[in-house]
Amino acid sequence: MSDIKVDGFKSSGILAGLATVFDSYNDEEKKAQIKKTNGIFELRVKNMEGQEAVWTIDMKTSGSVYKGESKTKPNVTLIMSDETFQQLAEGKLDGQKAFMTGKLKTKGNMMFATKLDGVLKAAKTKAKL
Amino acid sequence: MSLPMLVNGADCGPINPLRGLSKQFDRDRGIQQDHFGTGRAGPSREAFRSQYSAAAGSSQEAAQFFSPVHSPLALATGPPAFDLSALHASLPASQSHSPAALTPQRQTPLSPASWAADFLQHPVKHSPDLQLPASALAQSQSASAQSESNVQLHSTYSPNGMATNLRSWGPLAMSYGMNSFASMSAPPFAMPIQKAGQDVNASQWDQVFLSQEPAGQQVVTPEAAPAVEQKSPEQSRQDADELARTAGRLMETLRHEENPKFKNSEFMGLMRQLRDGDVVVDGNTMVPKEEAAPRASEAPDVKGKGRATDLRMPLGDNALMTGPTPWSSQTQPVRTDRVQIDSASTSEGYQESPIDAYLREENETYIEFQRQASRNVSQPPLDMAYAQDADWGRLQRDWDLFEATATGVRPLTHYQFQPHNPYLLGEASRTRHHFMHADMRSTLFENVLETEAAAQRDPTNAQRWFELGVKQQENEREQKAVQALRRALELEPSHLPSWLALAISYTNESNRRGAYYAIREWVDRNELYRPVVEQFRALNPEAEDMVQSDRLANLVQCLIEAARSDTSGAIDADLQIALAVLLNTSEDYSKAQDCFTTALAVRPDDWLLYNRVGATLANNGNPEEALQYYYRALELNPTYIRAKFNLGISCINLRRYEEAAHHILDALVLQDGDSIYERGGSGDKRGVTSHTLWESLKTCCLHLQRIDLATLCDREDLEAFRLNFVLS
Repeated sequence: MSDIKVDGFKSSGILAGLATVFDSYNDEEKKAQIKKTNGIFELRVKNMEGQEAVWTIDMKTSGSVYKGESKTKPNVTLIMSDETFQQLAEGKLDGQKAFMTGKLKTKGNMMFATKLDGVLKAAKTKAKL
Repeated sequence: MSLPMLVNGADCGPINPLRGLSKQFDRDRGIQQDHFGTGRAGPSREAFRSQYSAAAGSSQEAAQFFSPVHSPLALATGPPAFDLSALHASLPASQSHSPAALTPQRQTPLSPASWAADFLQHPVKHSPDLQLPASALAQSQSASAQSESNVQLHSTYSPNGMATNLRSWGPLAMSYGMNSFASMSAPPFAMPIQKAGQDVNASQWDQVFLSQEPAGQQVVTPEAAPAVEQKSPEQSRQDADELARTAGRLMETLRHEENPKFKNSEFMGLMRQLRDGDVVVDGNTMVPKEEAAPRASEAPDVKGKGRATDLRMPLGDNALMTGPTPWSSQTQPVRTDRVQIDSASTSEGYQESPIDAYLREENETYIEFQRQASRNVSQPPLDMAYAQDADWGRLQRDWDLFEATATGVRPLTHYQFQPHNPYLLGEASRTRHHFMHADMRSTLFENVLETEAAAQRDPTNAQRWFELGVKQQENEREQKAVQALRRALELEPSHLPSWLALAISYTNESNRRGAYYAIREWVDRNELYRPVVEQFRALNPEAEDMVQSDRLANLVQCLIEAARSDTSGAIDADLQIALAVLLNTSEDYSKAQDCFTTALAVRPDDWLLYNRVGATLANNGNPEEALQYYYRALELNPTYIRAKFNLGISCINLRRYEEAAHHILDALVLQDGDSIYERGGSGDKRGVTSHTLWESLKTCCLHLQRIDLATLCDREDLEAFRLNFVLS
């Protein structure tokens, strides 16, 4: 978990949380999630200081989150700012909107990028009415 | 007759052969089959070699017939029954008469000397316990085949049919037996004995003895003897029979197979042929019977099939003939249809005599039964292990599904009350009156058990069920809430608050369709807005093929119309809630929040509404703002478990894990308070606390780097968790 964190990035906390959630999944849940997503996201996040950090969300084989570039070719690479990612993760911004407004750039399968929403949401327990 | 009787009754000879025989019953036949095909003298060859003393007493006969096996040497000095010279004389004749029984490759010179040698070799060749009955049978068989007096001897024990039966074995009577037995070339037995040298088989032994059983006690020993005697050709054909039988059974099983393609397939053809004995297995190849038979047969006038047939019959026959007379009448109904079946399925279309048919059926049934029994005994360790694993997996999954329902055997149909509810007894009337004259909010500090008790006492009151449902919602047990609400609606379909509550439960379970239909029901049944709704529907007719999202949008519009129609200025909170729920399902959170807040304006101390506003905010990505609503809700009702839990979730989302863990733990403790502690009870409270809560708590613990606590979450061990959590 701690190895996911990168100082100076708000995103790192979110991703660490995501990793925790995926770690706590049992095999069945993990399989379901992998089946649903079936792909690898590479996130290239730039913070205000202009530093870049790279994480990978592997929802194709291992169902895990790790720091650094994807070990295998990612289905999509998402390039965005730290702020944007935070908003995305919190659900304040939706991916398509971010893409339209140029806050989010993609490399690779753009359509697949829309699945990131689902992955980020999966990590969150919904509040009950 | 019972086997023990047999075993004890045979008092001749130092070693009781029947005891040896009894060992056969539980023996693995695999061993025998291993022997099959090796250079061993087939029983068929020995079939006519020994002579039987007709004068011997029945018990003695049995003994003789067994004893040579045990001690081959004793045989030579033994009773005249095994006079070899007489045997020799009869050999050519018998050989010509039983060609089918001979294995061509194994034709050995049949001199007495070689016979003796054979005989002595026997024990060596066979595995000891196998060999015993086999050779014994061979001997006695030959005797029966040879001597007419022998036949008479038997016939004294089985007056009716034995004689005929046995005569068919006699060289002269061969053709005589043909007719009656031709029909018996029924599937299982039709094969010639290509595989001579098959040993007695446990199942067959069993069969013989069991078939004797109905024959009555008084004929015990004599029956056994002939039965066994006649077995040896049977044994020798065992293998072929087995194949035919298996094929027959296969055919039987697939008789109802409709698919013509399959019916006419080559495989089925082969099976049919195997069953009817048209094809036999010769070594590693399948040979048509016509080819195989001539090789084995030296009597061209007799068809191989018929021959095999008449040889094979004894086993069943015996049972029949010695059996009590009433039998035949009993068999009548059974065999008629049986015969029909068989004649239909057998390509040759023999006429099967009723008795034969019955016997064959008996045989098959028995063999099948036995096989199944042995399979049951032998296979479980392997198969059941897997089956059990799978079962457990399934059970576990099921359990997880029902987890929220305490004893949720029937997930959605019935609400499962907690057992031993103390509120059910005693001064229950107080709460009852209380319920009757109060609205929902007065249930403030009552716990689930009280509500449950009320519903239990008055199980046909929809209001009770509705209250229970709402209470369960508050207590974060969605599944139970749904059950209770459904029950309420079953009792009173027009209970609007129940529909609304059900819609909320469905929304929480992400069941959009369910939520939609619940709200729709609510609208349909709401008298207040009927005119508006009808007007709206007339303007916006719903097409049958509308997709779900369109329907949803339509309903939202409809509700908005309804809200606008109310010109009195008063706000209908229920309508607002319905609208908000619908908007929530379509994830239109900001609008939903508006609706909830509007409803809140008219119901300022409805903690449920506060929580709903909070949840909507949280789901919309504003956990920070959601907190105040949760706090307010908890102020109004400190035991509002759902608000506590939602608070915890928001804290997780705000990465305030420590706080979150506290809140969720509180929620769990509150939930746990609803369980009934039994003195010395098993304490399985899995159903009482909610699995989702534990999952969230576990996530918290993992965030807090507390693996130890996370494992406790897996075990859902509240006590241990509390202790550890406080200590840390």
